[in-house]
Amino acid sequence: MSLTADTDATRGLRIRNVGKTYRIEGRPLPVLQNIHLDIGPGEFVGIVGASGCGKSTLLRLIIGLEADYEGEIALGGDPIGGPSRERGIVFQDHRLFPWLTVTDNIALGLEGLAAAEVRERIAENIELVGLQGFENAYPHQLSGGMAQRAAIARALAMRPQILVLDEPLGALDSLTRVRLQNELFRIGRQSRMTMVLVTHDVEEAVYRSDKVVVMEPRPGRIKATIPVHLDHPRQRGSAEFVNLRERVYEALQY
Amino acid sequence: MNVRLLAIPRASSGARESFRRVLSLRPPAALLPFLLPLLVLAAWQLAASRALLPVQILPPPALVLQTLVDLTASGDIVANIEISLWRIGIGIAIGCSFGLALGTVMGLSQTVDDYISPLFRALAQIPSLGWVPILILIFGLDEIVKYLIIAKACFVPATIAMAEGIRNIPRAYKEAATVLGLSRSATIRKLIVPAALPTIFGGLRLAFSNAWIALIVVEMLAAQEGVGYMMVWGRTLFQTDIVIAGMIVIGVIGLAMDAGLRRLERRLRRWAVPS
Ligand SMILES: Nc1ncnc2c1ncn2[C@@H]1O[C@H](COP(=O)(O)OP(=O)(O)O)[C@@H](O)[C@H]1O
Ligand SMILES: [Mg+2]
Repeated sequence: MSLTADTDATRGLRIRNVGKTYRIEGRPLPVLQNIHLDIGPGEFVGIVGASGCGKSTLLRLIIGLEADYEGEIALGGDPIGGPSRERGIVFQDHRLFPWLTVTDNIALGLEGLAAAEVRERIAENIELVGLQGFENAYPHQLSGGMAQRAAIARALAMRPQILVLDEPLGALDSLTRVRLQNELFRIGRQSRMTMVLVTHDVEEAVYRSDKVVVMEPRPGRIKATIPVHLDHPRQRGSAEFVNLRERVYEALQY
Repeated sequence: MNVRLLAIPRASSGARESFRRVLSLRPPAALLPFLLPLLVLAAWQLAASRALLPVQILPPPALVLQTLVDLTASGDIVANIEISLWRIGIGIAIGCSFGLALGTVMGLSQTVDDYISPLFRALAQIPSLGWVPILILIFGLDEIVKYLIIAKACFVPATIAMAEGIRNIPRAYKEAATVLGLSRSATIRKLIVPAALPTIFGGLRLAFSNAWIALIVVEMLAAQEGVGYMMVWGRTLFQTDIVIAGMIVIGVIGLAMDAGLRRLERRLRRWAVPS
């Protein structure tokens, strides 16, 4: 199966003129306004922006957790009508079920698959996030970072077409973070999984992403979409890299 | 207050120290639950032996014990307990299963809740025993009256606990369940039941204790057998020892049922953060 540019365009995520307004005590609070974004299949997109500028809300819209919004969001030409297993999310809070072990939490998303397949995917993803030995631990027995890793394993095990990650690596120590970033990135490229990563780490966003989306608050808008056309592995010290990173920092200042 | 505290001379710190030592002289934890009952027993014995109250009203513990032994030997108490346990068992089974079922529907569907809630709340306000007269008019002194009264006593707390337990499941978990694509049955087994479990058990414990109240009162009002009837019978004979024996039986069985529920809950919630 060869992917032509044409199928890419139809299989991608299309966000057109999207707006979202929450109501707080009856008064409207515009949270997202005029969002345009195209994300091709297999693309890695980083989203940066001050807290409160609607990054989590945008991910919730992509996942289909918010029914009430303006504009158009479509995946592969089909409008998104609700959550689906093709679109996975790692929430900012891990949201593991406290009454299930790590293994059973990962198995939640694998309902309906053959038992052997379930076992294989669980083992594979537990190893990937480095939680061997904690298969039967309950969430309260894990540290914050370990719980976050279990949540990543749970999302990856579903093998979604698109995986959105909401600051998933914040609770991790820097060594684990770098290792997991590498792994996530490798999986994304290998399985052509589209990834949307919300992060505070500008350097990391530029290092990984095919494009970096910079958002600004009140109401949440896209300030700039900065494409990064550099080959991997990227040279953090190269002039182009430094230049792009500065452009992102600049866009972040307002 | 502060001033006086400050004024305590340093010399008294020795006294405070020894007081603390007395406090720390605690019997092994396993014995602690028996301490208070033993004290009550001692006070009871003391009051009885000093004849503070006529013996018809406050018999000594030994007499009550003797009565318990006699009633057990004659089989009277066993037969009465058996009858009462059947009644409470059937009543609880009916009341709790209907309650948990209705609570589930009310918790899952806001529409159903909107329809049923006002009527349910109105009926729940009528104490279980308020139903006794009309049920006797309809069924006479039939066993069904006891079952229905006990069932009603369990039904209300079971329904409320189940509905609340479901309604209070954090939205974060519900969202996780939809994102993970859980089927309806998996959502019930893996999310709703475990998340609502603590609330459900709180409701069940309340249901059980309500059931006991209903059982004893209905047996006192409208029965010819059972532990409650035995107590009324003891009172009419001015045999307070039988009344107290009945109270002890109720207390012990009630405690055992509550302990059983707690154990079951602990088993089902092994995952919980140890407190
Ligand atoms: N459920 C909600 N109801 C009302 N306001 C909300 C809700 N969720 C988020 N918001 C508001 O929307 C804005 C953006 O939130 P969020 O998307 O979480 O921002 P970010 O993830 O960029 O920090 C914030 O001002 C927040 O208070
Ligand atoms: Mg956020």
